[in-house]
Amino acid sequence: MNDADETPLLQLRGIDFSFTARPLFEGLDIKVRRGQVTAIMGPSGCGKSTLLSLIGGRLRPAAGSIHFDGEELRPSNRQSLYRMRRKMGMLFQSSALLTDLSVFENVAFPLREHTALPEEILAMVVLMKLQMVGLRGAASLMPAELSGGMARRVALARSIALDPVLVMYDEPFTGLDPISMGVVVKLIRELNDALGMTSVVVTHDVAEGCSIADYVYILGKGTMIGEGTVEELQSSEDPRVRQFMDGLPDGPVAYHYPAAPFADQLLGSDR
Amino acid sequence: MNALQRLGRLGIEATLALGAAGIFFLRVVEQLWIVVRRPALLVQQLFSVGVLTVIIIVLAGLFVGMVLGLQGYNTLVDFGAESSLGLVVALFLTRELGPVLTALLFTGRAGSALTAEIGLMKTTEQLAALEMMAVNPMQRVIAPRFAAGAIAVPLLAAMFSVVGIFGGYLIGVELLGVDAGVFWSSMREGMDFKEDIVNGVIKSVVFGLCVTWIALFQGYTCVPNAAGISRATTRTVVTGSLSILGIDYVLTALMFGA
Repeated sequence: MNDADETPLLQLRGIDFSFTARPLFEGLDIKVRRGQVTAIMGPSGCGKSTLLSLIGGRLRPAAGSIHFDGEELRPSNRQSLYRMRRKMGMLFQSSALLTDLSVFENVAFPLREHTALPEEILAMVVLMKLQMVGLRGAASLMPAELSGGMARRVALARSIALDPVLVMYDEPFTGLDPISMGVVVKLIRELNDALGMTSVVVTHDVAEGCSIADYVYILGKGTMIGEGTVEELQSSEDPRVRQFMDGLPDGPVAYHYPAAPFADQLLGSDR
Repeated sequence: MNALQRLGRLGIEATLALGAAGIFFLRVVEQLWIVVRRPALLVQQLFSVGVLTVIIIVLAGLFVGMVLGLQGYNTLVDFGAESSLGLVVALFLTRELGPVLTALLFTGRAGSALTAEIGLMKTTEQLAALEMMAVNPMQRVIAPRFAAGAIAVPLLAAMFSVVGIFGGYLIGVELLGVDAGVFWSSMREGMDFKEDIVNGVIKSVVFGLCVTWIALFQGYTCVPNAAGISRATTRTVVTGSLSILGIDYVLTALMFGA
């Protein structure tokens, strides 16, 4: 690939962000190349989902810049932010389907809001998107009638309804049975390649993430602890990367939450 | 010192919440034009907050009117003034009971439902999903519901008063034997359009705005989990009901003199 000198679709530079006094990110840099599936992996609570909120402009970084498709993301300018969001799709962990609308209407929703397509064309587009995720037959069902895996596929069809250039997946494999997980894994890769999109997958499932990613970032506490292709990371000697990739219970991320020495506590000397 | 600190913190928190609610109100008003551009959104909400509340309003209005007829007759008959029963029933309903009880019932039926609905949309990331689809939830979700609440309450209050007067008629005229002509003519002669009807409508519009604002704000700002939604719904009913009664006193004092 000649991606090295191509401008990345998405670039985060020197991002600082914190919810409270404790910083969540300090000087975070991420590049997402066009046409690739980029996985951002890391343990729970390291701020992976927050990162997607920053990219989507739902949160503002304290410092640093985010460039998307050649334009700087400015959350304060609602008009420009919404224009950029129309080029982004997002799959939420909870699927976030609108519960009072049918599967068909959920997928049609972004099209109805942003286009003036005649009803017949709109129906064709919706059915095409549902066909892509294998749920054309479920068009008339309500979200409450869907299994978790089906709901996620409907949400995926909705997120690609406007043919976005970037699709972000927030923990797409969590809580799915093995068959549904296999379907979602296959869909992410296939849709990315067939529709010429770019994907950012945030996950803590190492095997699934690695099976579809072209490039992987591993996020630790506040900073990036590793990045590279799957092969590079699998052969990495960095103990932090090794602990995460191999799922080791103890290592740089300690098994025990910080506490006073056990013996002292049992014998009461710290009271 | 601790008690003083707690008091101070309470004061600061209350002021902050009021400020946030004020900003929320302005943000909703800013987006209200959507109901003109897309009236279907308003109609849908008028159905869910208005039409679905009609049955409880009609039943409550009927019973309140019947009680007023009975109590009014028993009191007036001692003074030989039962001929004023129609006027008494109508005045109570249009000036006070219609707007106030309608708003209280609306808070319990539609206000709590609005808070729970918006709170659940927030908890299940539906509002965030709208944001990410470049759809402003303030415009698409909140503004139509706000307009629907403000329109529905005055209409429901009018319905409450009409059915209530009919209830008073049933008891006073049909059961207790007050002359029907006297019942209606005392009402027609004794009531003033501006003083009684318009003021009642103004009250119900204010109540409608206030309750819907509280319900939507509580839902939109709730802590996104089951306990958070439950607390927000309770707050809607408690704050909404107390606000109605408090505002009712202020409006009554302004309209009819303190």
